[in-house]
Amino acid sequence: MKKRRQLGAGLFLLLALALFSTPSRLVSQIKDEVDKVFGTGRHDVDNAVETGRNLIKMTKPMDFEEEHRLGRQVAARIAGNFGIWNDPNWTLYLNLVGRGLVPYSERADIKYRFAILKVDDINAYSAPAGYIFITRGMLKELGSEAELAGVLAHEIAHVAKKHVVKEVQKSNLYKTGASQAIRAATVDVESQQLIEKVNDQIFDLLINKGFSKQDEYDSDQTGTLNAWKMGYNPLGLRNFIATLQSQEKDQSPRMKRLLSTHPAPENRLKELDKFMAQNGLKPENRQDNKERFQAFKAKHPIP
Amino acid sequence: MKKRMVTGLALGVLVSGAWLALAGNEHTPRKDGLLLAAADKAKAPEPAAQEDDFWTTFQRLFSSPEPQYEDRGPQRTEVSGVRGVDQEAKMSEKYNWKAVRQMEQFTVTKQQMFKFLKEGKVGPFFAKKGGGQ
Repeated sequence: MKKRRQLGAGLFLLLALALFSTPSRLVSQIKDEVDKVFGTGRHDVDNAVETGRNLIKMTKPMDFEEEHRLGRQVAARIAGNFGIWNDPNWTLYLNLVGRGLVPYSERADIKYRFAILKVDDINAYSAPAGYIFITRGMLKELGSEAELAGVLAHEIAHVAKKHVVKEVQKSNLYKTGASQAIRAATVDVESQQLIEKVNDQIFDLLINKGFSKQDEYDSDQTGTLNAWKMGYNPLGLRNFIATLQSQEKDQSPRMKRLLSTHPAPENRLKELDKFMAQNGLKPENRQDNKERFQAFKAKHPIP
Repeated sequence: MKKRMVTGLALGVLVSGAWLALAGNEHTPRKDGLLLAAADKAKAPEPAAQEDDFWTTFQRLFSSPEPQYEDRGPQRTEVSGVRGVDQEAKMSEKYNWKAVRQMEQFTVTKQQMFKFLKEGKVGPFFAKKGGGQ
């Protein structure tokens, strides 16, 4: 009797693992076969299969639907925390440069949206699924359209390379159930709390901890390459990082957070210079559009 | 006899499960807008170098309005009572869904983009000039 039970348990485990990708109609056929052997009602194939499917889902990479749900929540959190500067002229300018860059990204199959945060800090953030923010302080600091393009392309690269998504997937919170909560069709209070904890983790990553050095170097390089492909001076992002470096010693509170969440500007410049030299990215024949940017700034002053 | 049947069945299930896993599964993306990008993933384009590629990507991504997504975030009504009201207000400040919807609904027309790129000599207008790509 005991042996038979063990065999049965083993069979259900095998079923659970083997049926994770099996169409439902086949699952019911197989259930019928199991019924013939053990007799109806002597087992719980449904639960075994469901458990197997859930186990597999937890180890699967995050799909776009889940990334989008997460991205919207993180974007709402960023917007709620900092506030949005709804200037129609600057929002349009930002979206023209940002969306113009998208076709040059390696992930040009999702929509990207751009908004300005109502803070004087110098910074930019990207939430999963293409929600990108730049601060008003950053816009004030930038000197040319090529610099703006470089910064936006850097943020697009974070999204394209799924840097946040990869960090989330590494977390125990995600592995132990948050994934299911995010995917669920309806969200109960418990799931809601779990999702909020994941949001807190991402918010903390973006605002306080920052990405790994390698992710930042990667985004610097990809961003510079894509801005260059669009026809901008590849020194755009480099110039901005050099500005950071020159002001690093001043310990300006406006760039304190940016400096604390990114590798030292000196190292970023070193890595970027190496990449540009290796790939032959030169400023010749590329656009700075400094005059256009400065004229726009003069016409639409940033408070 | 039964033991043999069980072993045979288990082996059969394993083989068929593995075959089905390799052949693909039954889950198809819903056509409700949210998953369209996921559905497009299989045919993700190479970075656009030519004018046609640029405008095709632009049209596909930005010319149609985004669907109204459900604001699936922290609920503001899950608590009640005086303390609940405070928490609700706090939560409402913490998550700005209106701003997210504004980002999603913001449109850039093809004409606006065309003028911007042409005047700035970037994008497809840079490639046209033969700037050395």
